[in-house]
Amino acid sequence: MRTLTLSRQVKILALAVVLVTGLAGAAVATEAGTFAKALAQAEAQNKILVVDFYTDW
Amino acid sequence: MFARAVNENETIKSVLDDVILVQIDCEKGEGPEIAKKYKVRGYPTFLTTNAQGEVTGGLLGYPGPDKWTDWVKTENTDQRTVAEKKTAFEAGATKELACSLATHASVAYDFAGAVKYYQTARDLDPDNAAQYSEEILTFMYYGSRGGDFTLDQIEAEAKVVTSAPGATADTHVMVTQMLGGLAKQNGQPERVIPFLKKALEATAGNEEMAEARLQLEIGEALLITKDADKAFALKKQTMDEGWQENAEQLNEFAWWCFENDVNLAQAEEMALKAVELADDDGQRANILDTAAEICNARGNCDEAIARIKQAIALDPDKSYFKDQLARFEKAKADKDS
Repeated sequence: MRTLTLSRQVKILALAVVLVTGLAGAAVATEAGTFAKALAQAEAQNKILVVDFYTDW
Repeated sequence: MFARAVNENETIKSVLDDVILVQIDCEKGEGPEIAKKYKVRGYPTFLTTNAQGEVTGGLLGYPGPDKWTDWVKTENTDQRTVAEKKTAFEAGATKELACSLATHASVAYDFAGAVKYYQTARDLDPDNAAQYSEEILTFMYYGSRGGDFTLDQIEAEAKVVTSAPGATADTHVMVTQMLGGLAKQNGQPERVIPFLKKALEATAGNEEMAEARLQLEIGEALLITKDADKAFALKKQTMDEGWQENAEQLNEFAWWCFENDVNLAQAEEMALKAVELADDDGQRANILDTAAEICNARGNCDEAIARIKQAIALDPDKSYFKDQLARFEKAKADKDS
């Protein structure tokens, strides 16, 4: 039976469907209310919101 | 990849003043709830929304800084919601609407929808046909897993992509990888051969593509020259350092030999060594299954049965091993009769 680690499976699936996102100190929202704050900011500055949904596995 | 690029890449930074970027860890804090609300399925997924949180666009996967930035610019130019864009598209399709709706469709894994929108974009913008064709092929490939597209359809699109005048070596490699996997799954591995030949030509002498080239040469040895020893030697070169002392990698190599019917005697030795090196009973049972498959392929039915029984003893809850035992016992009965 094939027993691959996740990293190898990702390599095989490749093509960006499930990419592991490395974290390097970017502004990250995990506290409650951050998303709502971002929406309020978008409203105040009359800008669109770009949401990056990631996991760090 | 994106998290690092967002801090370092000048192209990405150039667009960030024009939008509000928020990054949601989908496993922490409020992340799971927001990801569920927006029906996020794959990571990373990018969505654009208006200030009311209504979705205006989407993108599955991080396509690199240039394409990502272009996508943000496109979505920033037309801030209508996806529902409004769909209505507008029905009334009068444009390539911009088609592209926006195509990338958004992929977020929900609606790959057939993404292909349809990109086909419209290609019809409307024939000067950039090659670029749309690559997107169409990629989404057909994704969709093939869910049965949206057949190998015939994907092969036809792959011909379009690889016969475009500007097709790069990267494109040839990508197409060969896609078709190689699909053709094998369909039990017709030889259907990749024309693409493999083109990819070998396109990458000849290109040292920057040495890794991809090695994979192509393995394909060549397996499918074209049918030189199992050469394929085995090339496969060895792809293994990480220390693989001979690593249970998982030994198992991977042994399984590769089994799948490709290459050097099964050595494959069995590798699997048995991996059994000894395994970290825990679960892993050991999986590797015993590899060993059992190889024994069965070599016609050693008794040994295959003994190995899979060992696997069942180590991991009795796994029904797959019991199915395997039944299969090997049937093979033995057929052989004896």
